[in-house]
Amino acid sequence: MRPRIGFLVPPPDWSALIVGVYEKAISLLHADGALVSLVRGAEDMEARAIALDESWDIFAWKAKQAFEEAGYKRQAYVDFRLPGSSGVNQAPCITLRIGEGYGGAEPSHGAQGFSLALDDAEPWDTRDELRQGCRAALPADGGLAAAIAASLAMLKAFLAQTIPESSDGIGGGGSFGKAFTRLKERQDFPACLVGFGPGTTPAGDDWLAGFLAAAELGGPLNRLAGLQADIRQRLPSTGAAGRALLLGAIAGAPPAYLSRVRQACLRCAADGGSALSLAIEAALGHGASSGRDSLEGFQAGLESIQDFSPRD
Amino acid sequence: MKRLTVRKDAYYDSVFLMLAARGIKGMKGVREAVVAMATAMNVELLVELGFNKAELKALSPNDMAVAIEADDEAALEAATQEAFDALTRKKAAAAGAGLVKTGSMAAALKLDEDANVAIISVPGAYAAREARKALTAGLHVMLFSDNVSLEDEIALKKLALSKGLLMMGPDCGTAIINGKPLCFANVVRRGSVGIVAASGTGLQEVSCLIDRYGAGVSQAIGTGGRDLKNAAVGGMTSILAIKALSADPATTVLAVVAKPPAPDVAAKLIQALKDSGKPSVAHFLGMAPRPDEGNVAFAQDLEEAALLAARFAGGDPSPASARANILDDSGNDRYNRPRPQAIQALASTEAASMAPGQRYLRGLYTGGTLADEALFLAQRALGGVYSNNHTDSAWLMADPKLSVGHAIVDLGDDVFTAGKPHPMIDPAARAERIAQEGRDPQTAVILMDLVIGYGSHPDPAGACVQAIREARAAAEARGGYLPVIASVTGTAADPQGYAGQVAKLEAEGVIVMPSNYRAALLAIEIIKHRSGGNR
Repeated sequence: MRPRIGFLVPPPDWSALIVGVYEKAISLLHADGALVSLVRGAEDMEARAIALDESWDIFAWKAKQAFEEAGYKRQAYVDFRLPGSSGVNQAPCITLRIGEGYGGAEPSHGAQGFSLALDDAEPWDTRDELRQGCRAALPADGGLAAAIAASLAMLKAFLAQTIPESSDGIGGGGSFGKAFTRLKERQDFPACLVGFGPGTTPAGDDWLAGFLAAAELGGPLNRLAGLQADIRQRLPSTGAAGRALLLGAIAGAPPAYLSRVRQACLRCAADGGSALSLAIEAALGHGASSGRDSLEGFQAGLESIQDFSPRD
Repeated sequence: MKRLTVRKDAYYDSVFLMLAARGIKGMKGVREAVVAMATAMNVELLVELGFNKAELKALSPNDMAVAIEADDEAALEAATQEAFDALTRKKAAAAGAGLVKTGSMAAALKLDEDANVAIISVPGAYAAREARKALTAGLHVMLFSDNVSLEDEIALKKLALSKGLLMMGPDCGTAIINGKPLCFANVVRRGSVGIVAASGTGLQEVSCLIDRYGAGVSQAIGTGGRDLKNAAVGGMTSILAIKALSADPATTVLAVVAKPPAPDVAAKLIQALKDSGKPSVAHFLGMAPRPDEGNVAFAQDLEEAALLAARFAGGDPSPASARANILDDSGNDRYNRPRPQAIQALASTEAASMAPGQRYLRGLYTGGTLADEALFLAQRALGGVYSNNHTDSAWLMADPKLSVGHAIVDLGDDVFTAGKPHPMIDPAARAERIAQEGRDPQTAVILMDLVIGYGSHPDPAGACVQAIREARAAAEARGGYLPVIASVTGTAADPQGYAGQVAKLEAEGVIVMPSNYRAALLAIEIIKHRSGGNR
């Protein structure tokens, strides 16, 4: 597979600090205050991510070396640049760099300066896919309304059957759960959820990403636009991971796992929910509680649009 | 009493944050604990919970806050410490695991260009292809997979030979390379004995006993069962391994463990041992006794093979001098052979309380080679013994799941493992069988192995104690007594710990012998006492 570059990845040239190397992603703190992620493959994509596919193993390995050997100073960087000076029709490169101030031995495994050319990289943008899916769903078996009703029933059943990983989340009975119940009564709900809750990506941000993903399917456009603007204004109130997630969600491109849920939702009435059940199961396994939080938001989003007619 | 602790610009995986929060919430004296990023909304919540507003307002959304409310200062301190320990622990564990998953052999090779061994465990249909890729890339191969055709095995071994590479397997589950146990292997001390083995648990037993006798292993190379047994394979890997170990200055002693090789292959193998010029031990399971030849000593059992190798490693220059220094059992396990009188005395005591109907030996094994060793000994001593490993069809078990007469059962056989984990990994099937044998009033002795080390269950002794208890209680309820005889293949350095496993068995009244050979001897001797009417 060719590498893919999410449409919200800032254009080259830039450098970003490596703040985490995980099994499926490398988190980079960009100067704009939101994370950019290098991810393994399409299934982990999001709008501010670059999927490395076949080159993931080697780059992640080298990045891990760089990150760990730079130690707690965390001065390992990824440079995203166009080689040469012209920058015209050239493939960008990502290069590992251990920053100045690193006082240890030269990193092993050749991490320093390890570079990967993103030849033939293709853009990643799920918004067209959503539009096509919506159009395809409209005339089929009662259209979008039937798909939303069937999806809601299935989603509720799934969430009722599965036990949350932790009772400390926004859906539990602890401090966050109680506060979430109170927040639902506020005028500015759900925008007030920005930055709320446990997790490196706060659970409220996951919930909102799910809500927006569903709200994209229908309902009054001005209401959706108002919510998007409200959330955008509040982005400084959340962390770098939450900002990256919400930037994509506001732009109509939630992470790949949530996009799959949305696409499957559109086919739900037609295929009997087989794709949706798989997508929900996959989503539930995402992160510590991110998958569940975003599905709960998605369910709320579907509920918010179910009484409206399709947009077109 | 409340405390807020902050880690600036901290990016932890959310799973770790959740686990840290959950861990401290369960601690004594802790009333409330929040581990979260210090975003505006979370700060608002923490202020509502009574945490210091001024302190909180100074934080940024990229800071991680650990907020704890506890009964007293000590609980606060302990919980705070635990929160950060948990995060550090998880981070270290993730880093220590150091495992990167790759989608292909080529990608794996790119990860470390200095790697020179590939361990391959894929379904048999793909195994030869992957092994060929690795060999072509210049890597030695340990092929765990079975169901590889004979033709493929021969072709792979020829390719390996042409490149001077070791093709360990197919169906090779045990090796120790440069001190690293691979797949099912034990943590044995490094030393000068180089082992070549066409049998997994045979290699484990010999390497563990060598460790217990105070010597150590330089390399232990598995070859796969067909390497010596099949004339067409011709011992290609075994002979190459012997040559490699002959040239290795860190290896001063050679040991070969296998089922009886094809005659031509045996001759080549023994010649290779002789050509090495190094003191050598060969043990071919079930083979008739054979006099030593030059530098090559022929051992009669796995224990003797380990003893001779350890003696050689200790400086004995020849088979004759090594044998001369091996003593009858004098009370410790070092360089001794079992004293027949001691075994008989123990057997007599064990047999004394049995009920009249208790007649049969029931061997329940997880290790195939260990089962074979017990079978050969029992067959020789008792006459007819049924087994699912028997090469004589007259004594092949009609139904391996039901013991009739004397029986030695290899529970690792395909008939038991189809769709289920091997009993070394999941001992539940063996535990059930122990209980089943206990319900049979004809069962006189249960003989069993326990193989620990990497790959094996974390607590195989613990997994069968309840079944042993039930089996013994069932015999007692019938007015009898059921001896359970075991050996533990393992070392003190194994993850499960040798001593702890032995202690668990002994606590249930199991007699734990220092080797499979001795365990089998004792079990057989008990049966002989029964047959002799010693009650």
